Amino acid sequence: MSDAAKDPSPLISAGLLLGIGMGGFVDGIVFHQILQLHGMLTARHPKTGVDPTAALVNAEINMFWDGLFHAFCWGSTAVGVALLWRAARSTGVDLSTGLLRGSLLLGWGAFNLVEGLIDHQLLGIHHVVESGPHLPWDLAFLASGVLMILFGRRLIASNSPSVVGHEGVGTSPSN
Amino acid sequence: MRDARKPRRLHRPAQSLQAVAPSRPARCVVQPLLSALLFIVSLAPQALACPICSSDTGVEVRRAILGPELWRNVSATVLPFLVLFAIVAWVRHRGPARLRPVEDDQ
Repeated sequence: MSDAAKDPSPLISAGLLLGIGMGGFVDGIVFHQILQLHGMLTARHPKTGVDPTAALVNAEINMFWDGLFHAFCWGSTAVGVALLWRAARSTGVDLSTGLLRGSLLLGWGAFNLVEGLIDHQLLGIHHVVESGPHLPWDLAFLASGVLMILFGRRLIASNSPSVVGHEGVGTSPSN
Repeated sequence: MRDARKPRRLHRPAQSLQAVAPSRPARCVVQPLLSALLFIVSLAPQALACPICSSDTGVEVRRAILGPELWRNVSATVLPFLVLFAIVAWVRHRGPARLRPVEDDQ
């Protein structure tokens, strides 16, 4: 079977889920835990600017919701691994490395864009940097998502000649 | 003959339990350590702030988590993932029509 006849969508969907999970873990581990720039609900339950007891209670509340957030990241990654395994065992599936890299980037970028739009802009439950002016950091987070989506989409298109759908994640082979 | 005897030995319940149960030296180390840990923790109840702790802080944390904003917070945490999973489902099920092989078009 030629590369053009192979189906790219199983690997793309697996890579998307893995990218979403890994993007979420980067957010949770780096921003929530290591740098502690924000927690899941730090706009509603701030950890700074309150008395020590309230700060402790709010830190615990944020830790709980961070845990739920991480549980969904874990679930996304686990299903992604399962889909990747199924794709690897199937015949007629495009398994190129570039396609997986592009899908991972696309998933990570989608996470940054969707999470940034919903949690930071729409609901306002937290911001990338909670203290001080947060808009520039929020916009930078969204921009990183858009860049990763564009780069991932380009990687997918260049590594999978079978992808023709303009409405999907790929581009025309003439591009 | 030795190979044939090995599986029979493994399937005897009493011997399987003996193999799984911790040895006496291990119990001697773990039990005092756990007891000491519980004793130390019980000396500082105010430091316990986990959502299932019975300290004042723990009660306050639990009340805030399970309060009237519970479902609002659940929705806020879950919503981005629902949107993202819907996108992946769309790519997986609707995608193949959009991402059909070039050969099919020609």
